[in-house]
Amino acid sequence: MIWKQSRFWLVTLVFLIVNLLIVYLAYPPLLKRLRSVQQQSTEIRSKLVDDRQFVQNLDALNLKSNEIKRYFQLAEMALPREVASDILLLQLDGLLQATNLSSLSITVPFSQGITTTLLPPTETPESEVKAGSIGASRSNQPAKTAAVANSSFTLSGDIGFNQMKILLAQLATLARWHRLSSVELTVSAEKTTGSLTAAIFTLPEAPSALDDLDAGFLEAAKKVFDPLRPYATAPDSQTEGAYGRPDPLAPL
Amino acid sequence: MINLLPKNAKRAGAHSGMLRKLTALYLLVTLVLGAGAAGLFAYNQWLGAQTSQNQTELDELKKRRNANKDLVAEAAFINDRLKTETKYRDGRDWPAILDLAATVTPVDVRLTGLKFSGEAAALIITLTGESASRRSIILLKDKLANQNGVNSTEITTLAENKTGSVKNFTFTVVGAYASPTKKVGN
Repeated sequence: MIWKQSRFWLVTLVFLIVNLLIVYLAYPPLLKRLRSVQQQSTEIRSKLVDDRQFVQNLDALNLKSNEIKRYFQLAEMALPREVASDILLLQLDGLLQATNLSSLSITVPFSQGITTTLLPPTETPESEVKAGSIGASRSNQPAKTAAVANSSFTLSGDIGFNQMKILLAQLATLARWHRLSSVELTVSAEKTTGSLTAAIFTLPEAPSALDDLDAGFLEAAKKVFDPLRPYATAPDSQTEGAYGRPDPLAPL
Repeated sequence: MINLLPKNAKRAGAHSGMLRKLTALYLLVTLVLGAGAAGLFAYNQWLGAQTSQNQTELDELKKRRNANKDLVAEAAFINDRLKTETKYRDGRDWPAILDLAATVTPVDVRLTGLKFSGEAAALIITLTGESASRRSIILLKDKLANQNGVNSTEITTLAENKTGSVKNFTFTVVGAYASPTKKVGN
């Protein structure tokens, strides 16, 4: 019988040792690595497909970077991260001048609980004009510690029915989004006074992902933002104004 | 042909042949296993190289992404604001809303106050005024009720004022109005 031969046992032993070594020592790490590399490869390929698409979109956006920058500024103005009452005050002032209604008073929020009123210069004594002028209002602005999520502004004063219609039409073009909560006209002693109050909003969160970017967002932006007018430019103390008075308390 | 070899020699020859065949089989199995291991190793290497190449491309794309992250953030910001437009922007046609008050006022009625209030879709309209005719005041209320989008109109006050022999009536009419929307530039 063959198993009675020592050569058979020797060959079989060598075969078993070599093959067991291959099966137990070589295959497990190779299979483990295969699984890991396959998983890694699948993940990277999937990311690559997304990223290629993303960069393709990015290239398209890059061609329109000027447009994006312009609409970004308008979007930031429309629904800012902070209340930006000072800019709102200037915008409303610009709007009233554009509609020849600069006699109206503007009330804007400067923080929760504090409001500053811009009184019309023609209707107030000199001392009050200074107190309520734009410059003085700006100095009242507290440090921006708490963002007001939902606030409002008011325009009020002598205004007739048709002037109110013009003002409302113009207000619809204001770059700062708002929702009117009240429009009121009252006749007393043959004088018509009116007021309108509108809610303004801030939205602090600033997304930075393009994942859900609509393909036609620039077209939509054009439709939404192009008709809007800022009515004022943001003041820049670096380039604007003359500063330094020997006696700042001396009368102007 | 007759095999004249002794039985032992014949058996040894047969065993030796079987052993050779078995050894060959062992070798074949070993080679297949070895080749499999080598194939796996080579495939792993190839896949690893491919993955590394893809990773390099991915890193490159990431760099381009980061180089444009401001532009991306700006685009995302615009997109975000566009999505919230209807929530935070007044789409109501306010001059038309004001015109409603003019349209419904009879010629012998004078409004002394008008107020539109409410942030939701339905506005509360409050009209105050005076007239020498009660009928005209009721006509104003009915005319207002007949306007598109207006419902629940009612006269909340109606007072008679007499100066000598002249009668005058002051009133307040209230209604709810689902105002039309109109976008700027549309």
